[in-house]
Amino acid sequence: MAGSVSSVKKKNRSATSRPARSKKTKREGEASRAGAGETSRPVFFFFGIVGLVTVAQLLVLSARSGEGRALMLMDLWPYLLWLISSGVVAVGLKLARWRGSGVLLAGIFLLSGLGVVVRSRMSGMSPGVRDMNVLIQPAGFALLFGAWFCFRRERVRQLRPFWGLSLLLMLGLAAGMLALGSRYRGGLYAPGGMTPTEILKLFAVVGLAGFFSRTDAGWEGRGVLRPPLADALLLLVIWGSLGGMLVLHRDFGLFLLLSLTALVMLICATRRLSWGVVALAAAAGGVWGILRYFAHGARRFEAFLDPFSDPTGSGWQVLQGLTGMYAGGLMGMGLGAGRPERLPIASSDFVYAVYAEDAGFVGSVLLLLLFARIFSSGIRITRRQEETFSRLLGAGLVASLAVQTLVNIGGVVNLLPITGIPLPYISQGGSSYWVTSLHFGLLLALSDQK
Amino acid sequence: MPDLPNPSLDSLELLLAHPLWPRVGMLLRLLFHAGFAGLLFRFGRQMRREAMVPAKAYWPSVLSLFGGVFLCVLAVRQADWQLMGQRNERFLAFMQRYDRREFNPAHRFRAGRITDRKGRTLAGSRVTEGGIRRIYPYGPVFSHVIGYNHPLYGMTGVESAGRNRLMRGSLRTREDLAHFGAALLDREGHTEGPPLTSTLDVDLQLLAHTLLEGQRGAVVFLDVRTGDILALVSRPEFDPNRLPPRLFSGQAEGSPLLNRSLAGLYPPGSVFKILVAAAALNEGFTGTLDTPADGFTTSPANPRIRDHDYYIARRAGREWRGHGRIGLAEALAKSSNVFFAQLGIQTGAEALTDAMDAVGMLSRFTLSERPEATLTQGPARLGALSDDRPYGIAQFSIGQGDLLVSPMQIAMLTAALARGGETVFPRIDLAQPVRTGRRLCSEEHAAALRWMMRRAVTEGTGRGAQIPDITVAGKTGTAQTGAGRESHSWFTGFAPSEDPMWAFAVIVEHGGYGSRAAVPLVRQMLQTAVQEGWLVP
Repeated sequence: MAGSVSSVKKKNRSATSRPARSKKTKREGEASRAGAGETSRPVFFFFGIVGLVTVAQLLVLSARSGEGRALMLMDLWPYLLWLISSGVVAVGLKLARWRGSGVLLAGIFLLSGLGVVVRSRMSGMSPGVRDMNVLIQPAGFALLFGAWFCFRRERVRQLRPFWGLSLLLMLGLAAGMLALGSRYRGGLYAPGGMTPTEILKLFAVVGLAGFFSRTDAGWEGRGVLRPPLADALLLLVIWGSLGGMLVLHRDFGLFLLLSLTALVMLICATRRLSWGVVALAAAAGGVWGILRYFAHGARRFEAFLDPFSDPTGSGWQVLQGLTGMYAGGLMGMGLGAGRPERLPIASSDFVYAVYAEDAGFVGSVLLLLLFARIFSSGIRITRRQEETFSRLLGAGLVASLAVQTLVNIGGVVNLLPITGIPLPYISQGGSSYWVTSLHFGLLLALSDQK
Repeated sequence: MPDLPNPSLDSLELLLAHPLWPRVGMLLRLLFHAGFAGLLFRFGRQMRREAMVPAKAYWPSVLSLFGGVFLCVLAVRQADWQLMGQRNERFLAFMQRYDRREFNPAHRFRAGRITDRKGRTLAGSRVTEGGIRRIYPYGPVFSHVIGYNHPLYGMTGVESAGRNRLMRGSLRTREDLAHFGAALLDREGHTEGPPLTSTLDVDLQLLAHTLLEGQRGAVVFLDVRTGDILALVSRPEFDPNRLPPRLFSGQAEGSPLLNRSLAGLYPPGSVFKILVAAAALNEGFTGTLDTPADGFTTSPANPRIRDHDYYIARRAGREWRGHGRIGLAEALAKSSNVFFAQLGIQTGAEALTDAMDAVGMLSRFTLSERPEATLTQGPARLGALSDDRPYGIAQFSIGQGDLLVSPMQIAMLTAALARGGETVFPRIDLAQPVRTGRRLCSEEHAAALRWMMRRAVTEGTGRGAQIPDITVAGKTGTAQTGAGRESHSWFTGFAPSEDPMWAFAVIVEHGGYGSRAAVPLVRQMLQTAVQEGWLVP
């Protein structure tokens, strides 16, 4: 909203006071073209982005050669594959006449490129994560492109009838994982450390978007005091059973993420902020329950409240992350030049700490701004949707990504307890990467309106 | 598993090994930040362009507001750690102990020196192989007041109280801010913090420390005009250069970690009569009271309060006739319990508590700008005092019963009288302003009490404190500690008596009568200090 207001102001100003006539007409011409939704070039920032990621990759290589390690082509594969795959995606979009949001697309390219560099910076740290994993990112881009292609230009509406199936799949998957999988955080460690529960995020978003947008549902305008009773009860049952199963997995982080996403969608569907009260109550109850019944969760909570009470035990991880950040300081050591070797789970949960050590506070703020741009562009896309289902879907997708980002970074900077949620497109990980790609692909499809 | 080709990148390596590369690398680092910022700027322009398309729903923007606020909170929180982490002392200690990144500025961060008022170093930092170590040249002499700064055991004393200054942790002055900004840009710029000049005097401290050798007790020596702490000794002590774990296990004999001068809680005994006398003068007391030989009590159920002379006489098998009808001056000089028990009841609970409050005995105060520092004086322990229970007041008035105070509080009481009735708070940091408190009594009353205390030294219980070079005034105290053990020996006073410059309070645990242990200590201390020229009257 702020963006649109300021642009209107700017337009007024230029109409009244700007003397340079030719410039003004050019500006207005551009604006009218974009205003008609005619075009925004998919390769708009492409060269700038490629340049920046190349600089980052060079810095990493330079730091590595400074450590006296031999440079192999292997080190460059992730970067090269990113370069190729994003080029292919860009050309593909052009050929298939992409007309969506340039900011979102550019943001996705830049974010994925930075992620590739940051992960390649850590490949020397944990040997054995090279080989197969270089293909995760290109496969993710394929998914992203596929999602856009299948659901572009309002085709996303075809998803709506599947909301029931989606919710069923969500519950079924959670139950199946409980029956078959490892009992810890829904991980199936046999096939390459996949985490099937990641896909729950999509099932939940699609299912809830359809659930709230049914023509007979009547959620709109109903605050927490007068909910549509039958629907609300059904939702409560679904969410309660999902929560129960995830808690048995001890996957509090995922449940928190899904619940916050659902809350955002609920608020968007009803247009009543009063549901936030429910969230506060539920959060308080949840914290109490975790502290009371789950030693694992309680430990993390204590480590969050006072990491110094057990600095070499439960507080070690977050303190090591913060130590690295402090060592990086304002401008950072330069990408790849930090020393996060002693940081546990550096490549997934704490990747932000590694990045902050390398890029410094300035680089971190820039990354935060990049996330902010991506999400605000997602929100703008959402606001532009004509149909309730698409709007809710967009809100859910943005909420899911934003909550992941904020909760992950919040855990690293000790603003929230550590939850084990990865940072979208930056953290190491296969299934989460692909699910994030699908999120982005669907958002791109939503942005590409008729 | 894909079979990717993996030749080595020799040419790239050659480029990176080129002597010019480090400069290029510096440039690239700048380019990364600048390019990132530039791209984000263009994002914003593109965004405005896209915003021309009219939006249909306005609801989700409320959520973007939430997200934006949360992002800002994240950034601020991160800055708090990443840019200002050194202000969190536990974080700094953690990094210095556990971080192996040699480029972490925390490793070069060291607290400034602590010196005495003449610039002699009491604590300094030394960079060693294992990190930064704090060195205390005088070892155990300043163990309590300067304290220690240990990565494992934390900080006490001035180390803790002055830490913000010593580490440049505070950002209050412009100089601090400038240094903070410079250190952000040049991370090597973090070096030693500025020195802290304490009010202590090495000579006096050493002297007091030696004189308490082999005893348990405390010595407080104040400059009455400024409240400067010239010496603050507590024994038994420990060596801050070597802190064995045994010290912290609670098994060390005599609780050497306890700073008796501030945290020691003792029955004040007769030294408290000064306060009762001041309160009585405030209430307008003049005249005399009878002090019968068989003592005084409020009801037959309570044991009689008698004078020391009665016990001495009884032990010698003699009969004692009592002091008779005496005035305040003589009662103070002779330290008559019978007199003060009655005087206290006459004065009333309210006036007595108010006098305690006036000299700051009832509240906690800290000797530093940091409220969490360990160099604080807690409130005296005092049972409920009420006019309905006169016997409680009678006991209170002779410094016994439900009343425990610290040596510092007694020194503050004496200092207040010495400087004309106005309370001054002790200070340990020469840079801090002098802080005065409430008034205990008027100038005339203070002068009267000073004259009485001088009389207690010239012809009363404190006769042993007389020395040729300087006139001493004071009041002894003998605090009973219960069955079978010797009493605590107190002496408090000031010198020179006509124009007071220094106030002192000394306690020797289980030292017997005040005149036996505490008075000779003060006498020797003043004598040596004046002879050596450390104190110039």
